[in-house]
Amino acid sequence: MKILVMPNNSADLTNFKDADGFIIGAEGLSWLVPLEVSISKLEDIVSRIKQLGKQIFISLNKLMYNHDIPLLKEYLLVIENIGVDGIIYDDLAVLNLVTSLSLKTPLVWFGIHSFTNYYSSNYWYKKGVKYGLLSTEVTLNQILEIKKQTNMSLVMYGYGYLPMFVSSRALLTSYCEYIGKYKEDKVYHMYEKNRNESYPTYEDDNGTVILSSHIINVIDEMPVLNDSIDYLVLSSLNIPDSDFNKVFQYYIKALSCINDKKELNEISEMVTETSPAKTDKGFLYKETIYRVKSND
Amino acid sequence: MTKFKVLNKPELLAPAGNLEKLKYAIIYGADAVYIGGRNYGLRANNDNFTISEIKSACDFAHSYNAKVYVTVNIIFHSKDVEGLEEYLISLDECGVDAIIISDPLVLDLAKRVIPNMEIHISTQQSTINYEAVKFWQKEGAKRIVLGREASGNDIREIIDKTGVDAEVFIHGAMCSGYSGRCVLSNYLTMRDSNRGGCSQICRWSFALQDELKNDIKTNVDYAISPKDLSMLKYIPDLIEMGVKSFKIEGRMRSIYYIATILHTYRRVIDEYCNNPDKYEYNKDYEKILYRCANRDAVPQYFVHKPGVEEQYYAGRIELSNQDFLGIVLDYDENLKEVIIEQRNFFTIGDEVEIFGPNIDNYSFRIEYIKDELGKPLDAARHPQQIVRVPLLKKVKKDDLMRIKINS
Repeated sequence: MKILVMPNNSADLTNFKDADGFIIGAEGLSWLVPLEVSISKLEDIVSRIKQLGKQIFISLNKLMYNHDIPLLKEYLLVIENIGVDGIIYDDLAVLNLVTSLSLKTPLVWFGIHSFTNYYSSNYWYKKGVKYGLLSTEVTLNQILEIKKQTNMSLVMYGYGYLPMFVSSRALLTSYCEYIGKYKEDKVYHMYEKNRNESYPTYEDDNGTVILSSHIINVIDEMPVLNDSIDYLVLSSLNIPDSDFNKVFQYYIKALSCINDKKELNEISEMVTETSPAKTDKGFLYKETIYRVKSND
Repeated sequence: MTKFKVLNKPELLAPAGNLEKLKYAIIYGADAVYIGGRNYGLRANNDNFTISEIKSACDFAHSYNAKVYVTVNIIFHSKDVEGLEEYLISLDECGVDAIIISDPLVLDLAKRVIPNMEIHISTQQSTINYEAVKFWQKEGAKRIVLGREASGNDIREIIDKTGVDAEVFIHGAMCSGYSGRCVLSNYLTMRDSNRGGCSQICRWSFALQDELKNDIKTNVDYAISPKDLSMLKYIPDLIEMGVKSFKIEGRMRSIYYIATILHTYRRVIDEYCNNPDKYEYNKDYEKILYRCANRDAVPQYFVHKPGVEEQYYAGRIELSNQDFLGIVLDYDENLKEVIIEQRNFFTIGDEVEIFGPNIDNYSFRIEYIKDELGKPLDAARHPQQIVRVPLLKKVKKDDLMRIKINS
């Protein structure tokens, strides 16, 4: 299992010298990725990461409008030219263009809410998609089952706030306008009183994002995941650098003692203590339902 | 200047949560209906249709030259796939005209086991650009239900560049987020939004907190709920763009809602297509649509990106609809009386109107009310009570009576 880092900035990449690779966003074509770079700076950062001997994945993972397509084409051609390990995508415009332009850069399906079964991953694999980011809503058992039935390399969120909602609406701006307040350029929280939970919410050029109230921490599951997951993603989205750097080191340490359950438990507790919000296991042990009344 | 000549009238596509609603939708002008089976659709907690009901739906719809599309648009977990192949074959045997899918595994399977079935790509895919459309076209999809985030210009460009058979929502509730990319329901209620369990978190009220989780002081709850969509004003634009299918949201809505919305949009489409040069926007229709749903409805993304005017905050009133007074069961030509099954209270002296698929709205004052046996009543008080009301104009079974809306 390799570790991929989504860093907050490009200045201190050497802090993650023990990582196997990085996920970097592209300005104007990404969401849910903490660091986005412009097309003019892409080559530089890719070169720096290559010098570190690390893999690099470029995330072009937002849903695209017609007006985004020219920029997308431009990015795809630049990426093909400089060479990266993969392009992360959700919008099928990416797959269609990569195919029609006969580009060779491997693709990573951003199936964060849709990679929930192995049939679909096999479908995309046949289309030439090499990697898939698992849905954050599948259980651990479902992940293990998918691994048995697919040839796709599996990518999974291992640490960070999990995305719950993306909208093209400027929901914070609209609300602040309604109540006569100025919307600041910062992360707000959507508070739900019955659950007593605060969900980080921010706006950018794409619209509004709402994140989970808890941070996923899978240190305890690493022995099991090690055989099934090819890449574990650590996301710094909305996490202070100081906390994230420590957490990153804990994950590296966990990998080095992956068969020592006691040690892993201690590391997991340190991850929890270091994290800026409560940690949990996401849906790894909780299966969602969808029918609340019988219709038989 | 002569306007665009309407060569192909768009399809009016209606929701139907059960067989009764389906029949009303078709009688009231739908060219096609979309329904969900007992499994694999995104309204898991609706009545939905058994296979035999789907067969009945197809038989009924086809007798009116209308089509039936079945939603198979959940995002599957591996275990959900069990039984899918048999189900798809059953749909084909029922005579279903198309399936609406989101997860590509269904497309793959359908191409193998029911190769002649038409495939429509669900709005769950949030397809809003021409390159994504081209992908689905190459995969054999006949139609794409475009994402509701597409503007008028986006829709036009997509059609111009791909020639796609585009389906566009024209009326009904909106998701606040991109379809298929919202799992608020999963996190807050453990109900899987992408498998039909959405608990509509985007209709809830919240508080907004700052970066440090301090409440922002205001007496208005934070909300992310959008107003409904209404494309009433832009139907001619959509027709001219070449949109093939106009979709109405609301499989869980009432018969009255479906009949009213269908009846209104049917008229708008027909009025425009029959004579584009003479077409005039009829503002009375706005009031009918508003009264029917008791929710504000706006064009959302069509003209500009939604802002504060497209969202709901404090003061939203959603009264239960009292306009719907009854269903016409029959007309007694001898006594010149209409026989009504009551749905809401009405009394002598009320100003009401009857509308139906084959009549213009007909307004009248209720002069008297009698029960089934001819006994005089001062009012129709009980749900499903059968009453007689005098009416000179002959009306038909399944016409509907409501409070007079426009003067």
